[in-house]
Amino acid sequence: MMEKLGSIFAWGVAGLTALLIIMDFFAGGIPDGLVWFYCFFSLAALMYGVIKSHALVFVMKRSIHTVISLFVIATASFLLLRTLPGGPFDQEKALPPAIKENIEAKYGLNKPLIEQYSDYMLGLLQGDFGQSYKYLGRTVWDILSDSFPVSLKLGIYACLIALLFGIPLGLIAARFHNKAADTASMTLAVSGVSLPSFLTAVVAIQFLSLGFPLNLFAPELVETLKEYEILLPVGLWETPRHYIMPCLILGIRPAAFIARLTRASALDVTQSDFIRTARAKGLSEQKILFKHVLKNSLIPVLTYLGPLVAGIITGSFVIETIYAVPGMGKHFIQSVFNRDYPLIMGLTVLFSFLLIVANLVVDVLYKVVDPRIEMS
Amino acid sequence: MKILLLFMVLVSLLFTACTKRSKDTKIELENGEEMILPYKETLRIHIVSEPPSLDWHKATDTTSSLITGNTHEGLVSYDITKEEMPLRPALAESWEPNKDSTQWVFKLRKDVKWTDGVAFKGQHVLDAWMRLLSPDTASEYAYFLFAIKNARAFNEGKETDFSKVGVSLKDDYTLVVNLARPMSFFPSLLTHSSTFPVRLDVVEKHGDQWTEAKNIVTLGAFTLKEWKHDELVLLERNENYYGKKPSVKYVLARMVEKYSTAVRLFDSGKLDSVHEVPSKDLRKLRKKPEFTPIQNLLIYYYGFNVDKPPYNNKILRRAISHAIDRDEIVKLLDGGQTALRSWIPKGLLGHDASIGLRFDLEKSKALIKQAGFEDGSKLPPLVIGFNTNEDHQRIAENVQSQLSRNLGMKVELRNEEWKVYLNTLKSDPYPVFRLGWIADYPDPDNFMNLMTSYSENNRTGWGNQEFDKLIEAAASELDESKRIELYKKAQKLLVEDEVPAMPIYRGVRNHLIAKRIKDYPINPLGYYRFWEVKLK
Repeated sequence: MMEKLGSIFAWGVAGLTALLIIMDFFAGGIPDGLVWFYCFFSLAALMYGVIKSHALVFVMKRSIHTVISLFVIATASFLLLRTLPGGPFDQEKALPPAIKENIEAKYGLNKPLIEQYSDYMLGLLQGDFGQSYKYLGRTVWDILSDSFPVSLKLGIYACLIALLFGIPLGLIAARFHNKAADTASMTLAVSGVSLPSFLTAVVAIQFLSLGFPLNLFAPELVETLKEYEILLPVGLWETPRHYIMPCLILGIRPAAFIARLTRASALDVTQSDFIRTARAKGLSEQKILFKHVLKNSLIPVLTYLGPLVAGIITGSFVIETIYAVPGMGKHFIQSVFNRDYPLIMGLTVLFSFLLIVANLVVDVLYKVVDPRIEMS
Repeated sequence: MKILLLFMVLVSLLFTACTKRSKDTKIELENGEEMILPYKETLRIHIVSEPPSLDWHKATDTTSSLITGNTHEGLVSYDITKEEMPLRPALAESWEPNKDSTQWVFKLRKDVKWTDGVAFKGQHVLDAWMRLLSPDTASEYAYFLFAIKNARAFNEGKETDFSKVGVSLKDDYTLVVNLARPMSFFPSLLTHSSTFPVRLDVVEKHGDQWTEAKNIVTLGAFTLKEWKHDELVLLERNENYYGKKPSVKYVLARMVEKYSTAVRLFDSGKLDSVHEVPSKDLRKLRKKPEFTPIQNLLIYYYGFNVDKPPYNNKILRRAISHAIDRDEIVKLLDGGQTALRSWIPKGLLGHDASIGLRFDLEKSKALIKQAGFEDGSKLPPLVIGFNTNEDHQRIAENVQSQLSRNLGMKVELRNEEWKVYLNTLKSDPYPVFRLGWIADYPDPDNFMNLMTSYSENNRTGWGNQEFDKLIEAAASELDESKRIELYKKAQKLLVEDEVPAMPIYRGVRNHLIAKRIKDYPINPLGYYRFWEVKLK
């Protein structure tokens, strides 16, 4: 019964994910209710994993650590920010001192640092990230809740692309170790890791949106292709067609990284005793690969997945600016240039929270994948 | 990679198999509804960022004022169809100063309605100015009205009774303004969006949310239909506008932060205009038929920190200004800028191209000798500061090479991130530092006032009573030709004699404007008012 429940959850999450993607691409969007259901279902699945692998105490301990870490991070970034020269309201046009005082009074910047700090932390405890200093009248919460969903979507698709391409590529390389397929896929992977995304993004636009090299000798054909929407848009974030390129380009680097990880760990597993036994038993190479090698070589990939997910769903500055995606990535850079203290703080706290949670989920998944792993 | 790319092409083929593209724009509104914007009725423009605030008492940036300038109006406006941009009546039908220009009387229009149907009245102007000046609003541009009697004291909290401030209503449609000092150009201040009227009842009802599309109440040629944060702003023609109604029904402003992305969207027909193009792409873009440059009211200058020896000596400052060939810099930038030697740029009253120090090495060397140095190589190394930016870097490097080539001087360059740089300028500016100034309103006072001894924006540390007096006299002078004479004198003092700053060039703004657009409102101030625009 318990076993069955586990596979119901696993398949359920996979199936729902697929359903959501299909709906997003072909049915013109996902109803909010379904998103909530998906969240609860995944959470339930995770809780089931936690309970089944007797990790409840561990998770609770880690949750306490999370709160402490967040507190330390918020404090450190609050203080570090104040050491930056230049303030949020410094502009090219200097202000008369009285006006400057009015502004500082309004935003509480004239209070002693310790008071500013305690005000901020008290607000944070109540989930109040404060007002942006740059986008007047908008709260940090407004800004995050407008831009995070976009980055989240972009990031999730990029992660899926990374997994869908990375793992098979790594497996192929391991299966045909030292053969042409290995060399080919590893060449791909190395170039994927080393090519910077601002380059791949622009090259991809040349090929996929502008029709290079067709546009050099048959510009009319390219016009027709554009007319019939066969070429991809150069930017913006409106329909699923607009998602393809940014997600793909964002996914390339992690895909390449995952491919290399999978290959290394699959090679390692292939040499272990139990695989020799399986071979001796007369199992086919295909079966060995998918049934035994794959599952065991995923542990390093899982380790990498924690920070990857946290990093990628909070947005990429390069991809979002090149493709004009209204996500959160640009705020990471610009809020610092603007000295928009509350927004920087909000982003830092959100990012740290996601990173810690992602790592926690990964730790739980370790245990689910390999019950021998001890958690402390 | 190629396999990947090929695969994605196939996938995209599948998705889109034979759906012919419509040129209309489909956008999703905040409430989830879809809206079709017909191609023939929609002007699609580029803005570089989210407008930081559509509260015109708080906004200080060009993106916000572009939106506000199209949805709202002030008492006075410009005729942007003429090159010298004369003032024209807007909410005020007419205005009249007293003899010494210390009192101005504005007659307001009686036929204007806000977008919610309420009639416009003088009280809305009074409310707005009170809000702008009130310390609680903490408006950065409150100083726009500091010319009014007691306005400064009210903003500083020294005067709490607004009725003591020199502005009052004679009746619902007659506004009387008493100034603290004579000011011949007071009406041109009222073109600035920070002085526009406001509906206090709306602000009070919605709090910080009053600038959202569903709450805001304005009275301009367009209304704010939709503001999707970080993504787009949609304006719709205001059918109840009192003036000539715009010919386009919608203006869709898309936020695209990267200029090269905006250019790409323009090329693919998603945008009708780009207001600024990246300087590194200029060579390629200049060949396009859509390329439209315009000289704007921006001056780029190098200031001296006159407290730092040896440049506390004006003879030496003159020598340096003589030794920099502005034409070489402009040629290097190759972006359509023009070399500038005088302080007031062309297009403004008082501009005189003959003012300023010409490139003259003989004179420069003689001046260095006069200052007590044998030649340029004996001068201590000169440090030039600028904020980190590719173009500023190129200019500073050029000045460095010119000074070392022409005078044998040693020059060191220092760059800093923008806010750090601003901080340095405030506390201890570099011996020579770069800055620029863009006009807020097209009046020479806006440029000349910058260098008065009491101006917060004068970072040189230079103060000259004679100069201050000339500027004050010019500001109160109603006779144009006398005003021009005063500015001539002041400019000579500034850039020929004392030289606390060296003008380098006058800026330019390069646009891309689609061929289907007629009468795009480009002007030296960068004020884009879209009601004249026609679409083909």
